[in-house]
Amino acid sequence: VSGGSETRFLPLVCPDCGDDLAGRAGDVLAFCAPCETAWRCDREKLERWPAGRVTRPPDGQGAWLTLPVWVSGSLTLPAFPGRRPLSLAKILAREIAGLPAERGVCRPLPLGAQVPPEAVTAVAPLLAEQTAADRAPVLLALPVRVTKRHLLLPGTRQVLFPEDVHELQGLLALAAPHATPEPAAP
Amino acid sequence: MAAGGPAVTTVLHADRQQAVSCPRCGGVPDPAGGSGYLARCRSCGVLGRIHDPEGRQRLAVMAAITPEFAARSVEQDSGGSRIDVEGCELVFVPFWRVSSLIVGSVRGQRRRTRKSLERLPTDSGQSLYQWVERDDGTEDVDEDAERHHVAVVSACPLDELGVPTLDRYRQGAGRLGVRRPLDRLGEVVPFEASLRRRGTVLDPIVTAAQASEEADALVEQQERGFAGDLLPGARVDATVIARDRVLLFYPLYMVRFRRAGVPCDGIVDGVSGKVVSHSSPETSDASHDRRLVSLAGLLAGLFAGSLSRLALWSPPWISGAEAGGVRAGLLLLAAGVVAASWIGARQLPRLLGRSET
Repeated sequence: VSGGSETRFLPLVCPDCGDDLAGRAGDVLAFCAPCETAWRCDREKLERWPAGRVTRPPDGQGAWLTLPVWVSGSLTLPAFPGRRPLSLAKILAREIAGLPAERGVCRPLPLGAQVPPEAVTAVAPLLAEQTAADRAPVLLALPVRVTKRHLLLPGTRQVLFPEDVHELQGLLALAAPHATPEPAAP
Repeated sequence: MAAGGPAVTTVLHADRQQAVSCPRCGGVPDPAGGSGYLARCRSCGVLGRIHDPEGRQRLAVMAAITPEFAARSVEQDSGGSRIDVEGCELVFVPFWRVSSLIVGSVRGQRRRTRKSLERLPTDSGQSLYQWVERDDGTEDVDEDAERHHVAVVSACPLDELGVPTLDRYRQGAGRLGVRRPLDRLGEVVPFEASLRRRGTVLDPIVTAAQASEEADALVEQQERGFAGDLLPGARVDATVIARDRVLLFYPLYMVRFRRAGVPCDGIVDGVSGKVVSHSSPETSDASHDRRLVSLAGLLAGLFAGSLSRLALWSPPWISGAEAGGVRAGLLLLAAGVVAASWIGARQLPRLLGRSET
């Protein structure tokens, strides 16, 4: 965690509208649902962060949530910790490319971003992908349907597995009150 | 303003406590008002995050067993012999839990082997079939390396109580369940001062920086392990892209009891109920007795052997026919020494007042 060596209390209040930001203690981002903005909160002061969301809903029925994913140029990296981040980076880069997206985040919020955006630069050589060097990585909220055995991505047969997302049950519980109705169709 | 609770919120470090206040109004953040290290100011009500450079969160695992269950575990662990429990104290022992997300690539060469089923004729004309593995050259390797590595470091080592100290040299916790994933540890709650009312909370003496150093050493070992099955000269490029550091207070029961009148101690895992260690002065006494008996047996054996040698391979002064009675006497004496030492070895612990356990 960057920023100073002293313990401080950082108010999580949206600088734009004054509403409470939503987030988890260990995440690098907190969100303002009314403003649909993301704020970096692991530094000395809040910093607005570019964020967007995939608007296409995942297929099927049942519980769903949005997972935070870093996108920079052609490189994609899960912002949530999991057991195989590089493999997921390759899968998501392939599957997310054609999905419709728009600016701003809405409920359920993409909580669980514990991988800092600086990691995008670190993994770029490993993936032989180009990052947008002049811009900060964008946080993309990716809707995912959770079944007993799989996590279904929108618009593809490619699936992820529950073990790919640490704290999946906790994130699902946080998303549950806001996970209906279905995400807006494109 | 919320009623009750402490007048000031402090964050505990290894070497100091630091007060935390709301920068908007100077009020007191209430950690109970939010999960983990989120807190709400009691004065102006603003939600905030307590930014602690030493670690993300302090968590406590709640004990899942009762003191009575802990005492029964110790009783069962000591072979079912009756014990008299004198006290059972719940102690929260701190451990650093450092999670590192490692990604990288591994390039090099791996030895390739080929397995084949081969027929081996025997002398009797029959055939035996067996799998034979043969060297089949080498193959190039270019793989991703990715691992979620969790290092657990003792923040307050308790070797003297038999609790294993976890560091860069040891990660195996034995019967201590602290290395299990957080979601399998039962009830895990944010650390609060009220925990001190439930049991004795040991403060960390290993700092976050020292814990990170231990974790770094373990991550290095892990990175070297990525190339473990490759030929020398393999190249590993790995980096840690995310790290999380949590101070976890883990519950242990210290059971003091007497067995056959001898004071003993037992440490029981407060979550699983397994006995972590079992110290008993009786054990060292038994070891002492064994040494004493061995020494006495050795001396008696030497003496009996010397007597037997005199009787069977006699020197000239007792080799005549007239000394036959003397030699028989020596043999009988040797047999007597052996018998006496055997009986003595059986009786010695009882004579010294030790119980037979």
